[in-house]
Amino acid sequence: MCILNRSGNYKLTEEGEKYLQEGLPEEKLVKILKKPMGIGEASKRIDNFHIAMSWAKKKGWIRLEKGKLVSVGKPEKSEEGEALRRLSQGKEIGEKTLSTLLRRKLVRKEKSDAFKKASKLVGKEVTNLTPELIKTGLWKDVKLRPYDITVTGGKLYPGKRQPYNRFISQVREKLAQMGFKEMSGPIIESEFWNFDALFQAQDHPSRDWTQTYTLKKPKRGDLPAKKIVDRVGASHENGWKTGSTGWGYKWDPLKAAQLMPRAHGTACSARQLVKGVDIPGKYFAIKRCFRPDVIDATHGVEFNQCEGIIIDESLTFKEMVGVLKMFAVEVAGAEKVRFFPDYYPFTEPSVQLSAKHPEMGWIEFAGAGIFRPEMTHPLGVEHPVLAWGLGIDRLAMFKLGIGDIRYLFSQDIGWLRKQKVTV
Amino acid sequence: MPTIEANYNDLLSLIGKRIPLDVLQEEGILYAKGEIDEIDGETLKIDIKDTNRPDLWSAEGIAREIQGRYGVKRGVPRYDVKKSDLVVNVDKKLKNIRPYTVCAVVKNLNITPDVLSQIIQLQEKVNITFGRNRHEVAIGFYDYSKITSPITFTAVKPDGIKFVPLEFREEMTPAQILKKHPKGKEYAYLLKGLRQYPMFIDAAGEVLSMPPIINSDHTGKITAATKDIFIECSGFNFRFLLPALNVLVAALADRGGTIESVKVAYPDGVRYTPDMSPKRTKVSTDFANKVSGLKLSPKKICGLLEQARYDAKADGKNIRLLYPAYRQDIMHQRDVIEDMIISYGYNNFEPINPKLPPIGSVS
Repeated sequence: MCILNRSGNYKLTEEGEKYLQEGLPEEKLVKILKKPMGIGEASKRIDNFHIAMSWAKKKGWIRLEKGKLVSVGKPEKSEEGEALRRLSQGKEIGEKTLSTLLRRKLVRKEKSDAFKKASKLVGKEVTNLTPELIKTGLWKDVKLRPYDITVTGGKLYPGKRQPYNRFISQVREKLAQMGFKEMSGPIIESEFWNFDALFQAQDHPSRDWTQTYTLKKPKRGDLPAKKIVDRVGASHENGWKTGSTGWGYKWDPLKAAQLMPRAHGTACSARQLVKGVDIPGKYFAIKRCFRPDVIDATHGVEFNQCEGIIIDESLTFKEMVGVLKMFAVEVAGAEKVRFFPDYYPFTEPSVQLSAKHPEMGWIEFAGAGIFRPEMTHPLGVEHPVLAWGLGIDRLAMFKLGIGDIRYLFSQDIGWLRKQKVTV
Repeated sequence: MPTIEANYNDLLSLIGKRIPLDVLQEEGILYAKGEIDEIDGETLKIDIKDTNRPDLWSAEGIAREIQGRYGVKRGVPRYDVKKSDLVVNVDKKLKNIRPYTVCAVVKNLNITPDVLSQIIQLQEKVNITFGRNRHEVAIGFYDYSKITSPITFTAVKPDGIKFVPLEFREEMTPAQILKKHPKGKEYAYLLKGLRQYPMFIDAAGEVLSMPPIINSDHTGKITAATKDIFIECSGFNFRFLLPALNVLVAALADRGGTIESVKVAYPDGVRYTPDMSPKRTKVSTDFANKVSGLKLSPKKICGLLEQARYDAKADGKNIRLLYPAYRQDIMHQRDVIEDMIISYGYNNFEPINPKLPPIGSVS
């Protein structure tokens, strides 16, 4: 039971507690003096009779008449009794009463750690307004050093995600919100998924459509189920049942088994078609891809591709341009769009979208097309499949204010600290 | 993606119609699947998107597509082919070295600087991209007037012959060329492991070239003074060689040359090349509308395809088509439909948002 007073903490002593319960001795004495009483009798009826008598006399509550104690009249309120009650309730009491209680040893001063700490600072100049100074009220007794609120404070660098990584997560969430389901696929891919399943002939320039790496060790991976492999092979050789002439050469499954770092995200789309797709269905993947290049501010050997497919019974080229326009507006914030004929070995017709961004001007934003039947039918899908890819790295560079593509993968802590979290 | 250079005025004279530069840039060049990347005076730098359409990799090819869409010409470009007296005999020794060649003669050319730069550029682009850096297709141009028929395509030991390679003064053996000539050093890997190297030699014993490395300086050099050209493409597969030859021949014929065929005699039979007769295919109206989302009549589709340099004739709901011999990319109706859509104009489509399920997920 403590009380915070201006000069510290105070606590009732054992005696103080007792009087709080029973009343002060002089109060008790006055109570029994309904009529004059001999000292001998009174001392038998009251504990601490001497204390009671001396305080009652001092306060002028009793007097000695003809050897008998006579009550003069107790005041309505006993100051000290009231003070004990207030202290027990944690309230402040007057200085004078406090000192009386201290003298009577009914209350003692309790020095807290906070008080000890804060009191050391009394009279000194402080630069820090500590919790102890505030709690004990001693802030009134210290000199606070003047503080210049116009001076810039030191920088704080809280932990945050790598900006490009964060940007990609945001695009993923955006696509999920637009109703796309995420596809998966390995970073090390077989030529089968990277090329053959996409109807890129093994001996044709369409295979050189992109420069790629190959894996030395291990050289080859597993091919999927024989049924799929056979159909893909037939599609290359003679068009299988797709109405195509095919490429007209002898397809080699051994070449298809060659492993390579994935060169484009479309490998994931091919895998998804074989895994099975909802009809209607929408899928996307943002995947790391690798292609040889001379690394400079605008070229890297690894990058992310954002790819997707949309499957339904009666999709046409009108929906193809519709989807691209929607992306340009929703994802990139484009004002105007234009479509150009384009070429991908696995789509026909193929289209490129250029978008006019309010700040970036005209940019090549997306490449797309309707998957060739020579690709989709052997993988088990006969419905039209619209496929699109977005230039996500370029958009990231713009959004993050990066001029050098190498910074997308930056681990430079000084640079990373400066990057803003808002995108 | 091949990037080619063309002179704006040269391109216009090939098209035969004045098309303002901004219209060409915004619209015209799209019909050739191109995009003008840079304009430097009269020189246009054009990215041709399609890596499977070598016929578009020259001013002549671009002009053919644009002519169709601007009503200058319609239907399949016709190329007459006469027979020449030239014979090329192919040695059976080449079977495991570089077994095939296809050849042509183009006469009466007026080789202006624009023509020369286009020929060289087209040869280079076809060599690199379509010919997979000379492996599948290696092209040689020669001054026909310096050649004595018959030519023999044969194989010779690395030190079995001497000739002056292009841009050199002294005679060298094939082995020396691979070690010393810049092109020899660059392409030596294509002959790695061979005991004999491919060689074109004429009846007078004059070396024409050592494919796929280098021409001879004497016969294998085209200048402004050259009137008649002998062309050969060598490699491993007629699938690549025949279209490559047709692409080159068509471009030269568009410059006013007359095409003559060459008798190529293989150990197992004779082949006359080039064959510029159009190829046959068909497309269904229903399928064309199903893919495009348009509702076009057979007649309208015929019109759009004629603009894309097809001959088209409606046969009920089917459309019978002829397409030029320089095209090798048409495998499926879809390829034809894309050409139809390009004629219709990509930017004339009304974009529609597909109605699809709204529930997505990240894994």
